[in-house]
Amino acid sequence: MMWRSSPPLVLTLLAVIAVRGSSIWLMVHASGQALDALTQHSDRVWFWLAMTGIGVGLEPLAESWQAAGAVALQRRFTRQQVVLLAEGANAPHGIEHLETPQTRARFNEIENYLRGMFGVNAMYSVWMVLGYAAVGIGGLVAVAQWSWLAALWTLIAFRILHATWTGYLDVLLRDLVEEGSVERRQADYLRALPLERGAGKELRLFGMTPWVLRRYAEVWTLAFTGIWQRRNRAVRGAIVGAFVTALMLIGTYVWVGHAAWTGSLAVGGAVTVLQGVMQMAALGALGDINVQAIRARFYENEIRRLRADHGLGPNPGGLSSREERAAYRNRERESGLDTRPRASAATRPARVDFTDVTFTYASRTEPVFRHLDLHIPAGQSVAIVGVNGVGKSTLIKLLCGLYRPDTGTVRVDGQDPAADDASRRRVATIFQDFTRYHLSLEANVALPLLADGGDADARRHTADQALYDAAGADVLSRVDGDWDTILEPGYAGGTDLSGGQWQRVALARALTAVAAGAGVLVLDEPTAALDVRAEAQIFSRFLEVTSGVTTILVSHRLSSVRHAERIVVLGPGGVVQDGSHDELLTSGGPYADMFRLQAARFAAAGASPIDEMAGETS
Amino acid sequence: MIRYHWQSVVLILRTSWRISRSATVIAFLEAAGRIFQYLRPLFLGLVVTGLAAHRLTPLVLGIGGMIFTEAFGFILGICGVQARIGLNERIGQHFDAEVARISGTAPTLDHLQDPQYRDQMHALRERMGTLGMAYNSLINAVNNLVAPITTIAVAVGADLRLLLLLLIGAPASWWARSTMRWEQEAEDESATAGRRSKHFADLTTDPVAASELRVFGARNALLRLLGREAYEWRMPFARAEARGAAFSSAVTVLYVAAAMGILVWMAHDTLHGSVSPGQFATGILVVGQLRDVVGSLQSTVHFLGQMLRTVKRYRWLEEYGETARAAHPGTRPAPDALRDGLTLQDVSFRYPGADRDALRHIDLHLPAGEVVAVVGENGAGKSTLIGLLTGMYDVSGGKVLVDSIDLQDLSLDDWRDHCAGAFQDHLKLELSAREAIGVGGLDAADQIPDDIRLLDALDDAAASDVLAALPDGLDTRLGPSWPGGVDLSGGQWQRLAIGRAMVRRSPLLLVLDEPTSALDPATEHALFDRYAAAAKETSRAGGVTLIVTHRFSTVASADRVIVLADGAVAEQGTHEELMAAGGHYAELYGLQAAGYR
Repeated sequence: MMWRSSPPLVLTLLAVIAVRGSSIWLMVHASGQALDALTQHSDRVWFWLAMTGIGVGLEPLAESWQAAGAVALQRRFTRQQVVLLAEGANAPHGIEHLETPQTRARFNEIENYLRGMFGVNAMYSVWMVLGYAAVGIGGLVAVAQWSWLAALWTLIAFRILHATWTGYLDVLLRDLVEEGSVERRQADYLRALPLERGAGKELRLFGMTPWVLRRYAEVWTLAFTGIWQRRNRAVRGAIVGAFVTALMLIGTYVWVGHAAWTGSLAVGGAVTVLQGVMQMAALGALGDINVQAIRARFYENEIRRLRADHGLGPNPGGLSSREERAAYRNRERESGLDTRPRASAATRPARVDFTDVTFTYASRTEPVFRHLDLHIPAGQSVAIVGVNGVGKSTLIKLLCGLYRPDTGTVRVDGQDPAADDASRRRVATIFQDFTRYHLSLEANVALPLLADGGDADARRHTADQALYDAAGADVLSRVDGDWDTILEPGYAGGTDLSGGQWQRVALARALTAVAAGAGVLVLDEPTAALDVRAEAQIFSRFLEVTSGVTTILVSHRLSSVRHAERIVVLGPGGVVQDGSHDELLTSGGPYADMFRLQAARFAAAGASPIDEMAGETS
Repeated sequence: MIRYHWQSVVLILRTSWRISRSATVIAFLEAAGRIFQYLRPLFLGLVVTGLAAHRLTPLVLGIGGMIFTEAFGFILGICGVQARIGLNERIGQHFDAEVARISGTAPTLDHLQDPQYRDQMHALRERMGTLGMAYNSLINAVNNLVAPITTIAVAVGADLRLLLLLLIGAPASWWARSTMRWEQEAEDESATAGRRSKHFADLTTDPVAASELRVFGARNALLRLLGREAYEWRMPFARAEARGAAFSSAVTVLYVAAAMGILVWMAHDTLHGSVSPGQFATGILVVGQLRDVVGSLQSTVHFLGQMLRTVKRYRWLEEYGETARAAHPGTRPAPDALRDGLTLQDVSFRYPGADRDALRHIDLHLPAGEVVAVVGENGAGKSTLIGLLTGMYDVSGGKVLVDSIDLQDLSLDDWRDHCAGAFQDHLKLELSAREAIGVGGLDAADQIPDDIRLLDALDDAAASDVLAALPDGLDTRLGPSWPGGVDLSGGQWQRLAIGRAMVRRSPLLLVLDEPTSALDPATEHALFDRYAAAAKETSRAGGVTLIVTHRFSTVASADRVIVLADGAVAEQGTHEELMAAGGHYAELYGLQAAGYR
């Protein structure tokens, strides 16, 4: 993966470490030769001194360019890894993987690594390790010139140290990243609470901070106690390894000393060999950079595995060869991600059919729906009401193709939204907890158009119309008419919107999707954060704005709901009532009860709408 | 400046010492091992001397020194690393807790909105245990400092002329200072792109955002944005490093030229016999190491810089926290009961960085024991009013009085101990249900109240059925991202938040800031009845209940209605009075009631 993030940079770095290794050899070899020439009073001393100088000079130059190259590569590598991971999260058509705690935790863990100290220094460490290997090999060659057996013996000594040391680091790593991560995550959650903007108010009002900090310390200690025990056991192996290496190195040094004393190795040769042995230490224990390099590889593989689990290959777009990528692009045009809705550019309302749908979440045993039937003709506006927890959100998720029913079918204009994006994009939805993107106002509204590229002016125009339709004029005045204002106060020039203003941005976002070809508009509690006037504004234009589209409205506010042509009341067993507002009030039942309950609050306050209502309906 | 940096080092060391004395000492053993490593030129010189003069003693000493270096160096190194990593984690935890404490105990919310604060915080919180890494950097700095000191001592022993090379150290230290600055700049420059790329990455794994991205067909568009921001994020670092490499190359070339000059000079003297081959051999090796003096000093500076920067961020936060606390010196205890009520005198408030006031010259009296409803359109200042009454923000002008005591003179902690509340943007505490509710009524020893109290609170919040739906009752883990954790709907979370607000008995101020927006009518209805009951209990101690809402059906039963418009009080009175007045309130009320006609 590193190679793919930038082949030219990787080649350059390889060349740089080759220079490093060679210059080490040159320095070690030439300095020995120079000393021999000196003891023999030979003129060759000046040549060998010059060579030593080149070796001494080149090595640090190569080292600093190795570091600069590695950081430049890091930039590309980080981008690649972050995107590869996000692609994995993006790949499935539905969202079940993200609502499965274990899978989501895996994504978050890798993401945290990539952004952490180790992740952002991964390339630096990897190339440090490779650079040291080159240095070690430079020394090895110098020793082998005298005796390949001594070189081999010393190499083995250092590799034993390397192996036992790496074994220890392995234990260190496994504990740090793989195990006990639930407690660690829990500790991290508690740690982050006092730093969150959203938690600030209640943390203070209830004086919770000391309690949170105490829990944090407790959970953290629990998470680390086991780790420390295992680590203490593992360090013993490393110490034994270091001891064996030490004994073997004593052998090497005695060998060299003996050869030099008996004269079979000249003074300069001894100097070269001893220096070579010292440089070979770079093949032994390396400390944290080695840990970091191993981590980099570990997480690279984690990303690969995670992608494989979600049906992707190791490379961007999931494919390795050029031909495969071309084929993928073709398929993408046909049915891949983010393709435009299947309808023509002119929006036309879509028909929605739930036929005999039974659905159960994987984590639960009780189905949410049993044999649910709901058919909405194109262009109708339908409100769905029901008490909390009856499955209104699940219904929306099924309609958006985010889950597949166990049995039965969900169809939008006869197409299955859970099958491909072109069918799904016929559905435009504002979720109750819609997303607040750290993007410009324009991007927040015109999000459904971002993927399509296209004309910037046309996009602005669509966004402008959508925001107007969503009664969002004051949003525009909040940002002084500047569509490029970022809607998050933490950025330069960024600003914050109120909850109600955000809700209108979200509504405008869904209306943009309608303009882009969606045929069903789904509104999940669209006015929860709106005041009376804003709500009235939105609903006064509701029929006009939604005239070209099938509308599904989920709300508790029955005053909003009654704007719909048809009202569907969901109960635990499925659809319990279905009809117009007037019909349902007349026939009595849960809807009429709920409506009277809400209206009664006004009646109690003296406006007595209930009487008028009764008069109207009788 | 030096004094400041020294304090930073002491801060880290003192913490380490307090956490574990033995580990602190062992961590520095690594440095002891390194001393021998840098004595190697001396050992090599001894070997050459022994061989050239055919004397056994220097040869054995030299070889023995090398053996000792290898044998003990690694073992000391392993023990050092083991100690260091453990300390690293514990120090990281210690400071993470401190950072959380600073943020969590700052009296107001101002800091959480301050971009400068958030940038400083981002760098510290992005990386769990960042200050543990700062400790690691300190050890690395010390390890790297051993090299130059030992090397210089060896050089002095071999030939004084070698010290001339240290003159090259001057440009090096100048260079090192600039790289430190460049890296700091890079960190600051990258903060915005870093924050944004994290936001984009988080969106791909957040279920709601992921749903939205799928429905709106924006998955690829987001990937492009993510790639771009991630690339931007690391760019300043790549630039700083390239600049650093260019400068260090220049310094190295200069150094090597000088070193060669001295070696040639020494070789000349060796040929003439005034320098021994052993000294020359030491010289050759020490030249390589003296070169590393520059490198080591650079690393020392790099690591120290890394450490000092991180500690500086921490100390900045610490100071920020102290300043924030100092701005709230009030120590008077809150009264046990309200006699008069809460009063706002000519209160104005402007959010930091905003260009207009959120509240303007408000004069209000909230009499003890009353239920007060605050209505108004979005942005009228309703939530701001609550923020000021609970001390979340400081008034920009005027006074908030509790009975007749200025809120500024009260201990904010104590005042808040007498408040409770639930908010529309409530906190979804992903803990056990017992904890998520119980933190609303922690006692003096910070303990969660007993279950009976919690069940009562849930009952008051009409949330008993939420509990009934949880598989393990109060022990249920909330939040789907935890093993065995349960996902709650928006309405269920909201009712738990209200339950949390009901744990404290008889607060002096109970604020309910649109807490029912996600609830269905039946629940809402049940809840309003409980509110009335709770308000009665609250009023026994003279407590004020403040309900912010835009649902007018709630309003009518309040003792008093305050209509806010555009940051000012537009009207106030009872429901009947306001309806009769036919003003703003009557208009809005009519608008909503029309929905039920």
